Amino acid sequence: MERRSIWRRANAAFAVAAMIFLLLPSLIVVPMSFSDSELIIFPPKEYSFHLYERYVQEPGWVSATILSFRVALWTTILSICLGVPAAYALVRGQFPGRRMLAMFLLSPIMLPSVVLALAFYIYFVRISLSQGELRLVLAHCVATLPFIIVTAAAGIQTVDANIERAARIMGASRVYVFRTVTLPLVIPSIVAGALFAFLISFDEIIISIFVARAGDETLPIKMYSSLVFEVSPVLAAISTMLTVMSALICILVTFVQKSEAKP
Amino acid sequence: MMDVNSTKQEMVRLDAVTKLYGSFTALHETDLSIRAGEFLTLLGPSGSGKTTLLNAVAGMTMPTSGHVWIDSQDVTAMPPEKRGLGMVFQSYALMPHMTVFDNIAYPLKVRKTPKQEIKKRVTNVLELVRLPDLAHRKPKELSGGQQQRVSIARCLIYNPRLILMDEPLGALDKKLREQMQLEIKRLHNELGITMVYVTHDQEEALNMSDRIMLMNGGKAEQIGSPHDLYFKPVSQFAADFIGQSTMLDAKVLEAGDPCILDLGTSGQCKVKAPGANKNQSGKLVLRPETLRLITNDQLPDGFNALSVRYKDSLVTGGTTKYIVELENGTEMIVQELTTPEEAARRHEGQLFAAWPVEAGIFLDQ
Amino acid sequence: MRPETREQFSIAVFALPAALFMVVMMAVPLGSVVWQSLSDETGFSLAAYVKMAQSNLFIRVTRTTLEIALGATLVAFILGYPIAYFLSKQPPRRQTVWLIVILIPFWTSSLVKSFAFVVMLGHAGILNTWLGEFGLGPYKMLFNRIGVMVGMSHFLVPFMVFPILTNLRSQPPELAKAAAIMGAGKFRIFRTVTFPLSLPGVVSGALLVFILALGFFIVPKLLGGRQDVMLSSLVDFYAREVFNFQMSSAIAVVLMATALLAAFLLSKVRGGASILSKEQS
Repeated sequence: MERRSIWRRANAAFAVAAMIFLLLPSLIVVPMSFSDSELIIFPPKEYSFHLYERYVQEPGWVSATILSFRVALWTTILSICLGVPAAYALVRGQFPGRRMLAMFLLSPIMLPSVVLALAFYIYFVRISLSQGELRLVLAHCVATLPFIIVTAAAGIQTVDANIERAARIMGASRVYVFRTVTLPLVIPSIVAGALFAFLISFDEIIISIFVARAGDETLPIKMYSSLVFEVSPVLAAISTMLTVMSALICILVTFVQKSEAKP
Repeated sequence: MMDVNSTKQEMVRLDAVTKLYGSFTALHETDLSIRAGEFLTLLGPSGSGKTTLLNAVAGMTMPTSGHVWIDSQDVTAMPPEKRGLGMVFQSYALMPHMTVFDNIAYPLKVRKTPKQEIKKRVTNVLELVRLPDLAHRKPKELSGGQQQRVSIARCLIYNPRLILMDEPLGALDKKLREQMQLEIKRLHNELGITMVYVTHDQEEALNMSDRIMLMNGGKAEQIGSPHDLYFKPVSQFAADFIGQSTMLDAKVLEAGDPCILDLGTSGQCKVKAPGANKNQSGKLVLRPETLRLITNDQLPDGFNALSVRYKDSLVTGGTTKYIVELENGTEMIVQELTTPEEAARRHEGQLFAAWPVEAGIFLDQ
Repeated sequence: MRPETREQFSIAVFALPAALFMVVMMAVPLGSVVWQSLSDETGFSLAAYVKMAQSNLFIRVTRTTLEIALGATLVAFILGYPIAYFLSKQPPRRQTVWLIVILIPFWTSSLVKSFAFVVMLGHAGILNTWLGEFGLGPYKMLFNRIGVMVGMSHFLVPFMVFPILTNLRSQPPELAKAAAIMGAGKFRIFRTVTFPLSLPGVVSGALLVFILALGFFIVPKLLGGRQDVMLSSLVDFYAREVFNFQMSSAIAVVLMATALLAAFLLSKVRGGASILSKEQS
């Protein structure tokens, strides 16, 4: 048993305080969402589902949620179709330019969102792409692709390359091996990446502001408008639902990663 | 034991194959011819090029120059899956998400074999490797030896013309390793498939092979039967790597048949070394089994003898190894069958280490 | 060597769809931005960059951006290092639980956080109400630098925690034990062994946080005041309100260049992990 030094205790106290600070927003919005008042007060004086009712009834909120959901779903699907094979090439390949390709595909992580947002904004005008949802999906995909590639690559690295080599020597083509050997073993990582990609797209605001057309409001866009013009208490209800969704996904991913079979 | 000489058909041929990684030569120009049905071992320390050579045959490494032929087909440019071979890895390389049955059935599924036939053939091959009841287990539930047998079964099921094994027993403990050596040898005898085996364990190579190719620093040092490599090593590396031996500095006093060697303060001896020249220096190599310990009045004809002092003995079951010392401090290792009386006798009287003239090997410096 | 090339090509092909997508959807648009920054109705023009270098507005906003970014990085470090250290000392099972505690704010929408801070820091907000019970305040913590700093640090702390935590976890425990056996006290061990070894993680975290801070848009807009305008807000202003694409592109290019420079430095940090296979040598 180590003697807990004074420094360790002080650091622990400070760290816990800092973590409470981090959790504060998520914790505050929950009780607020059950407030029965039109005013934003904390702690609420009376409790009810009033704000949730308003969320459903007030025009725009539910449709914004549905749009965000659809865009996030398509973004995730597209990112996976593009990203998982790309991760395979980056992990197993030894071709020249591999490092450059990796840096290129992962570069969106390193770029400020506004820069990408502006680029899409101007570009979509140039190529006259006006289909609202398509614009959002394509733009979001650029942002989520690096995540998918990184998580898929981490998963592929845990698969012993000799297993794939053995399968090839037995006569299987590279695609057959990828399909029957690599993919099944990498599914937990892909699921984890997909959940996070979904979340990133669902919560995405900066790119969406620039890219969405006048009539297409994603949930974040509508929340942003409310925060800029008139802060609505319904935001508490929405924030709670979003927080619950984030928490669920985090817990889900932790379980998925734990269940990964160790060879 | 299969009579290798009766099937003269060549299964594998390497023609001036080299492999360079930038400026580093992993494999110097190598020629090799492997007969059909042969069990050939590539033996050597790590970095000797044995795995590089195996990978060249497998198609996982493309040679920098030279050609690889399998069954009279030039496969140098062919990817691994088209070469019709099987490979066994040290890490077993079994698919963790599939049962033993599915693992073994995999190559047949690749070849789109009908389900009924798959079932029949998998059952047969499981019998062959003596694992009939494990079809529905997953690899992680099996022991190392069992996993390796599944790996071998997976190779055998599609009747490849050649099986490559890359240090397959390296992950097993000693007893299991010895068991598996017998298993693999039994399968080889029963099925007669050409096998190319890579290992750094010289005992394993001596136990299992029809021929051994000893490699060092990317080059082939010697190729021959286990008997050849053991009793007629052509270089000091070969003498040193395989088995134990006594090595004494020697200089040729008189060439001829037999040569007379000057062993310095230890004395002189005769040796069969037809190519040696007068004043040539080198080493005299003696295998422990060819040496005997005798006292003065038992000096036989046709034998060399050197005066030695008893130092130590190690009883390893049926044989005993004696460590004896020459005048100049050099140690000699003598191996004899263990008998009860010898131990008491050794310390008395003048001791000599003796060996037949033909058993000595003279190697150039 | 043609068969070998063919072999490698068959692997590289797997990345082709993603590569094409990124060329079409990222490289070309970004190139378009760069081009846009250099052209107006008459053709090639450096007017935007000239204006940026000379105009007071830009100089002020650039200074603000750097101030805020560096400040937020510092605060993120002050909060983040103790958290990382605390987490690294937890037994494995508890570590997972605590990690979820960090992950939840990490994955919380920036708008949710902004809303919460508006409620917390406002004039009649939670904090001021609570302080009022002690006769303190009300303090102006919203729509000013304090609001921005609080909001940004909150967002950035997890990004600082992860690289440092990874580094601390990878330090072999024998080092600290050896130092202890030699007589070093806990603080000395930290000062002379643990902290210096953790510097690559700190630098990685700091660079990452700095890059993120540069591009911040939502938090300064929602929680900051007129004195807290950052370059990213200017990009928005020039693009979507004034429709001066040349100007907004120029600012975007400057942001991009700074971020790429920081990313380049990040890649040079020792002890940075690579996503590429460990087999490659």
